[in-house]
Amino acid sequence: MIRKIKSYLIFTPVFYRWLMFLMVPAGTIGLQWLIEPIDLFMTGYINVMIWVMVEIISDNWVFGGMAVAGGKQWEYVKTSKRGMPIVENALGVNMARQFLEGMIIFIAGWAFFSLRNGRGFSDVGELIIYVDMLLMAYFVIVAALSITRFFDSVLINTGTASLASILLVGGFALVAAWKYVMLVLLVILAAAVSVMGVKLIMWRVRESYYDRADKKEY
Amino acid sequence: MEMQSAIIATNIKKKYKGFTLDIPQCRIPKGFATALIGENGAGKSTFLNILAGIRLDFKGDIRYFDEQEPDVEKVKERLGYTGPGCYFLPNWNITQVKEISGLLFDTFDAKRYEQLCGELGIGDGDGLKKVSGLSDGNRMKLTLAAVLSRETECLLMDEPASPLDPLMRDKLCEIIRDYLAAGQGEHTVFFSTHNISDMENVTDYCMIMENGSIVEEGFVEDLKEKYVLVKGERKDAEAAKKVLYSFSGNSYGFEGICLAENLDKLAGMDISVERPSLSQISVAVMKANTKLYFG
Repeated sequence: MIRKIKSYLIFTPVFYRWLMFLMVPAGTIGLQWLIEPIDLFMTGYINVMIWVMVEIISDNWVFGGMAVAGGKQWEYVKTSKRGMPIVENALGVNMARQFLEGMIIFIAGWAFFSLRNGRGFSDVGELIIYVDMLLMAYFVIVAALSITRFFDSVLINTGTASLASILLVGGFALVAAWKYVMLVLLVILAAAVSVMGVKLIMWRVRESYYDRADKKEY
Repeated sequence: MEMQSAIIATNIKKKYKGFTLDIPQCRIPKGFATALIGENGAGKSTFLNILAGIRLDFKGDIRYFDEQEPDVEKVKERLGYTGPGCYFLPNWNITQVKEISGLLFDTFDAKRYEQLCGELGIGDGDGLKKVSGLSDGNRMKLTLAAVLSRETECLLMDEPASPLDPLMRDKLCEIIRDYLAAGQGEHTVFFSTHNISDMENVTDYCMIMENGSIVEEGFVEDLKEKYVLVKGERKDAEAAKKVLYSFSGNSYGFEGICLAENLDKLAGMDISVERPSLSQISVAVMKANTKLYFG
C-alpha cells in the first residue's frame, strides 16, 4: 500500500495536493458561508459544482494527455519493468483520493450547515439524496477524466467540466425523484467507472508500446 | 579470440508505410562503445527503441547479455536507455525525477543523481524546476543523470549528443569512457549519432544504417584500413569517379573515399592517399546507399 501511495505522490505536485485536500474543502465551506444555503440539497449542489470543476480542470495538470496517441511521454517509465504497475497504482490511488475528497467535502458541508443552522438531515430520505449527489458527482468526474486524458488541452478539460456541471443539474432531478433506485444504480456505476477508468487509460498507455497504424503489418 | 556480444538481434523486421527496418543480424560488441550512424529516417531510433523494450511490435529475436536472456522485461534493470524528446513527463520536476527513479529501479542511487545534477549544472540547484522548463540540452543532461545514477551493464542512447553544446559533448565522451572503464569489459554503450566528428574519439565500433538496414559495420580502426581517402587532380577526376566509393570535385581537383582493395585501379593517376576520418567514411557509405540524389 505504501508503494501505491508513493506512486501517486510522485505523480502529483505538492501544490496540487494542497489544493485538493485543503483549498477545495475550504473553498466549498467559504462559498456556503457567503451563499447561506437553505437546505442540505443546496449545500450538496454547491459542493458538487466546485468539486467537479476543480477535479476535471486540475487533472490536466497532473494526468493530462496521458492517453494521447503515441504516448511518447512514457519513455522513461517504460524503460523499467515496474513502470506500468506504478502508473496503474497512481491512477488507482488518485481515484480513491477523489472519492475520499468527495466524502471530506460533503461531510464538511453537512457539519458546517448543521453548526450554522442547528439542524442536520430532516429524515433518511434527505441523507440518501445527499449521498446520491456525492456518488453521481464521483461517477461524472471519473467518466469525464476518462475522456479528457485522451487530449492534452486545459480547454478541453474546462469545456468538459462545464458540460459535466450542466449534466449534473439534470442528474440531480433524477436523484430527487428516485433517490433509492438511484442509490443502488449509482453505487454500481461508481464501482464500474472506477474499474473501467483505470483499465481504459492503462490500455491506452500500454498501446504506446505499439504503433497502432502498423500493428497488423509488422 | 571471438568477440563477445552484449546484445544479439536476429532477423529484426518492423514495417512502416514506405519503410521497413530489416536487420538480419546485429551483434553489439560487449565492452565497447558502438556508434549507430545513419541519415534521418534510417531506422536508428526505431532499432534503439526495440532494443530498449519500449517498442514491442516487431518480428525477430533479441538476446541480451551473452545470449542468455530473451525477455527484455527481465533485463530492463541492467539496461539504461536515454531518448530524445518527451522522455520524462513534462510536469515532473528534477526532484520528482529522482523520486520516481527510486521507485522504478532497484539500483538507483539518489546521492549519485544529485551529484551528477550538480556536476552537469542541471537546474542551477533548483530541484523544483520543471522538466518542461529545461532547455533541450539540460533535458538530455537530466536524462543522463537519471540513467548514470543506476548500476547498468549496457547503455542504449538515442542521439545523446545532438542537443548538447560542444563542451558538453566532450563531457559526454568522458562520461562514456568512464562508464566503459568502470565496467572493466562488462559495460557496453550503443548510441546513435549525427555528430560523428565529436563522438569519434569515443567510438570503438561503428554501424552505418541506411533505409532500415545496416550497410556497413566494423571496428573503427578496421574501417580506416578498409577505406582510404584519395585526393587527386582534376584531369583524373572522371577516371577516378568510377572507382571511388564517394566523390566530390571542384575546379582544382577531387577527393573521395575508396576501398583500399581498389587502390590499384587508380594506379598511374597523380593522387595522394590519406587515412580517412570516421565521419568521411560514414558520409561516403551513406551517400552510396541513400535514396537522396547527390548528382
